[in-house]
Amino acid sequence: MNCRQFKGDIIEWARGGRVSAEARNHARSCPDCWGLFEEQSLLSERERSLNVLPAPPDLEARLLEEFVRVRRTRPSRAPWVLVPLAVAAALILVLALKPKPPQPAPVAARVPAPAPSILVSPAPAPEPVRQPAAVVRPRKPRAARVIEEPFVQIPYTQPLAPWERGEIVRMELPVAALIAQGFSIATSDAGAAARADVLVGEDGRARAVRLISISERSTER
Amino acid sequence: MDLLRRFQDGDRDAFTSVYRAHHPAVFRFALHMTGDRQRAAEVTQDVFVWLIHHAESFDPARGELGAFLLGVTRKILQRANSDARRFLPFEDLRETAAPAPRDDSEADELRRAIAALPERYREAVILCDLEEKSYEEAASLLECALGTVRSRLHRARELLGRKLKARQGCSV
Repeated sequence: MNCRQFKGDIIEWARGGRVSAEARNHARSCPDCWGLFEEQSLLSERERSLNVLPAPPDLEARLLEEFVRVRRTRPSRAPWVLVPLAVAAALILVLALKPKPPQPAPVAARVPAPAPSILVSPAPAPEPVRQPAAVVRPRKPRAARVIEEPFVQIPYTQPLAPWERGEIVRMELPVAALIAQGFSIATSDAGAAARADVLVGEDGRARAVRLISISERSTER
Repeated sequence: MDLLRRFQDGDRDAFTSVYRAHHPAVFRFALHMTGDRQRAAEVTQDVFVWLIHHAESFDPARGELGAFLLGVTRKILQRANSDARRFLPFEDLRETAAPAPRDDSEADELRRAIAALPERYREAVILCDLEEKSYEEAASLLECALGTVRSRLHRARELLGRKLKARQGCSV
């Protein structure tokens, strides 16, 4: 064992720490290590007698002033309490400032979604009462049967959201296509064409159909 | 814990109690690190002003407030030192400053010797010897391994011992 190995232990011993008997014996027997021990013991003694002057007394008053000033300008709530409040306020603001949905949208909204069943009565339809503008007068009243139906949702499509814009397009559709879509239309002519108002969403997809009239092929000819 | 919660809620008396309990350790650490009473007072003020503005930063679950404040003191000192290096690059500028009056008492001699140590050794001596922190506490504060603290302390003590011995030899 050489002195270098005991140096750490001797310093610890001088600091008042516990060291092995081997280190203590070495220090007592080695003049250099004993010198180190004495030097370190003196240092420890001086460190213990090192008194520190206190902090300036006016520091407390200055800090209290700062504390009061900060507390006066800042609410006592922790910031994590304010975050959800700020988010809620932002949400309310966004909802309040959002433009109202366009007029056509309520058309789909007030359409009930029953099973798509359209029964074509053989008798001429009565005069439209609820929405006269939407009714197309048949050119041949005897051949085309006028049906006034509410909008019926096309099966397996997403209904329009209240804020979503829609467009009503009047078009002629093959009755067979309507039947293929799941509508139940009682007609003897499978090749007949139906005139209908189709509600098209912003994405270009048809959402609901309102049947206006059916023109049977036999009558067209 | 209750005192801390009251302080964080803005209780003036609670802040006074926290300051009175912890400012001596902060001031001592700053004084030993700087060797200058005026600068130590400024650093102590900076530490508590920081605490006032960031009261919620202290989490009692992660340790004691005393250790936390010593960590803040250390960071503030490091920043002050880097600023000092940035704004005083020329050696000759230092010579223009009036030298502080020298006190040759043993205590001041030791204080000056400690202040002249390299920063990493100084921190180890102050925390382990003067503030009587355990190696574990000092390692946590200095963000280094326990063995590193021990070796830094031993090296610092060797330097101090030699310096004081040489001084003693000169005076005799």
